[in-house]
Amino acid sequence: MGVNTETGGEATGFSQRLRSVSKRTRGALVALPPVAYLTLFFAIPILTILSFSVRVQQNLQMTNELTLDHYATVLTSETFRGALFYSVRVAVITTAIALVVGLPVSYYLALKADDRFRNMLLFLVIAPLWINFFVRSYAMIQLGSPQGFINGFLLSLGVIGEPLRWLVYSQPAVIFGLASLYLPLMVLPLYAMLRQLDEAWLEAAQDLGAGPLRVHREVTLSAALPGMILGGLFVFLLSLGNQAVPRILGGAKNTTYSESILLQLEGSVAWGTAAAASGVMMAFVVLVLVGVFYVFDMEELF
Amino acid sequence: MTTSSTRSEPATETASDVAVAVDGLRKEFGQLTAVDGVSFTIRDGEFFTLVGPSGCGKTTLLRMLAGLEDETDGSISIDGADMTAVPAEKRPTSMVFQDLALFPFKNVFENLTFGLKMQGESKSVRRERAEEMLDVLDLQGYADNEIEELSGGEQQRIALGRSLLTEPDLLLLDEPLSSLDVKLRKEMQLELRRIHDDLESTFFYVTHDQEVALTASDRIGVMNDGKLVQVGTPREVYEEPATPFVAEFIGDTNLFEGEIDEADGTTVETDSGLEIVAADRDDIPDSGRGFVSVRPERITVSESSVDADNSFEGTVADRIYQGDDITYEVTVGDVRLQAEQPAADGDDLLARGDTVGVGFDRESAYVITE
Ligand SMILES: Nc1ncnc2c1ncn2[C@@H]1O[C@H](COP(=O)(O)OP(=O)(O)O)[C@@H](O)[C@H]1O
Ligand SMILES: [Mg+2]
Repeated sequence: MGVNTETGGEATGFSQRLRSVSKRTRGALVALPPVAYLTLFFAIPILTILSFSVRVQQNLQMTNELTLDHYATVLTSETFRGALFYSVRVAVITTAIALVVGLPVSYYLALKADDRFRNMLLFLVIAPLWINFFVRSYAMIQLGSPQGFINGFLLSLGVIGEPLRWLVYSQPAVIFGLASLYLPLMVLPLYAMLRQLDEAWLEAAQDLGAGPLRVHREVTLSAALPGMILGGLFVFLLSLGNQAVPRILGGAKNTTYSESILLQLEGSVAWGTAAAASGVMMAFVVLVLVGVFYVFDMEELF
Repeated sequence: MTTSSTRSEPATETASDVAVAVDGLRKEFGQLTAVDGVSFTIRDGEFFTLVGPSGCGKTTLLRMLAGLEDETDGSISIDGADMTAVPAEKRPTSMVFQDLALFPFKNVFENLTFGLKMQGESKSVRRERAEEMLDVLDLQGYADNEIEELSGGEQQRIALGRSLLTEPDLLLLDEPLSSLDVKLRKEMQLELRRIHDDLESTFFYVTHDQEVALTASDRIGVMNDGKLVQVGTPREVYEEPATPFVAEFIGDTNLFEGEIDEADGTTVETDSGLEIVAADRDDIPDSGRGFVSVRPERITVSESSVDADNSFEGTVADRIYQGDDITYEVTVGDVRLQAEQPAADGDDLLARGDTVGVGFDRESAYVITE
């Protein structure tokens, strides 16, 4: 009896240890793919770029000699500063437009549209994500060109005397292109938040003395806030980094920050400068994120 | 007894007594008539309860008073002012919603003082008022809690406080206690009555629970199928039901349909074969169809025959012991009578199958002619 219990106890202890070990191993195995993925596609490239940004370049070779010259070049360069301002301005305006358009659209989708219509509209809203971007962009150029449909229409109505030239190859065109490209990324999080809005909250607010505008400010916007922040970050950061839209729809006058980096790589083959410029952009993005997370307590938001 | 006064409001109230006057109010949703020509008044400072089965139009009526629903026809005036063109946010009413409708993205303080914020009160004033209200609600120290951290009963009280802080002339309560368990509901109900008495404001309380209506209210209105069937004090409505529906909805009753005969006093020849001598009233027609309602607690059951205006012999069919009283089901011919006796003198309980005498006086038999 006694022996039996003892060996039984030992066996239990052992199998328990075995189980806890295998649990740890299993945990590690589960974590392996994402960690490997992040290391391979995220950490290594970023660390490579950051290391390039502080090393002296000799011809087409990065030496091991350390320097801050690349950062000095970027930070004092009129071109880079102008490009950064231009990119940030475009991203801010794009985000604002996406918000202003996205809020009523998602409000309608979430609260007013009936079920069948809602699915169709959601499908349309997501369309920019799967209709080929280049096809859409060239269609926009066709529509907006001086001989295009929009100008033709306005001319025939007599609203304008001569074709509007800023409809394509201009800052407004870039902003319009970006806003329409990224609108789904604003609408979807907003929609998700507003679907949870109970219309009784709107009625309660009204009952407590809030007029129509106040009701939306106090209830709709409060309920949508996490979606606004998430959608806003998506649109802002992606607009900031986007290269294709400004290339196709932008004019020759303005260069985006990403484009300036590319010029360093392709034109001057200045890897160090390009890497430092990327570092500056990364620092800027981190600053924006920290700022947003600081102002809006993330725990409260999600 | 002034029976007729329970059926329609007497025109004797002065305008200043009247907090709310509703006249011919109707609401149609397409084919469906949710509220069907309702008229009544609520007096200043009154605790008025509207009872009726679910789906009878109570919420719709309340929403029209609050201004959240447009009436199809009829008028509402509050404190003498016509409300037709006044939007909800400008009405001197506040509503405690059936499902509370607290703002989950705002904390307790922000929820409580939402109305004050809309009135433009400063944050320091709002803080102070919130603390006072939390005292009244017995929720001291909860100001900075999130709504989802509160229990059902606490949320209930916050919803009530949120409405009360706007100091409405008329507080509308839509079954605010229905989500609570029985014990808490009873507590909250007394609490409501206490708060009402403290504040001397006018409460319009809606419920499908007739027990609540009888205990807490100054007057009750009984609604059925979109119509207001009767308005009166709880006692009037219980003792003098205007329709068979009211008799059965408010409390338990023995209800018989039959022919009225006014030749010699008032008697009703029931279709089930009883002849019931009933209380005489001026408004009972000389003949025709009618109902007679006898409350179970008015019927005496005894081993020997009962000396009363109405006396029958029957058999005990069932016996339901309820602690403080006992309900006997007694069959008299084809009729089943429910009789409720106090349990105190119940050592010698009557048993199933016993032959018994049952009886009640004519004052306990109330004739309904609608
Ligand atoms: N917005 C609406 N649209 C259509 N029918 C409604 C609407 N609101 C209520 N009803 C109907 O009106 C009737 C009364 O409803 P309600 O006032 O909610 O009753 P109660 O509050 O007494 O349960 C019900 O038959 C209900 O289905
Ligand atoms: Mg209801």
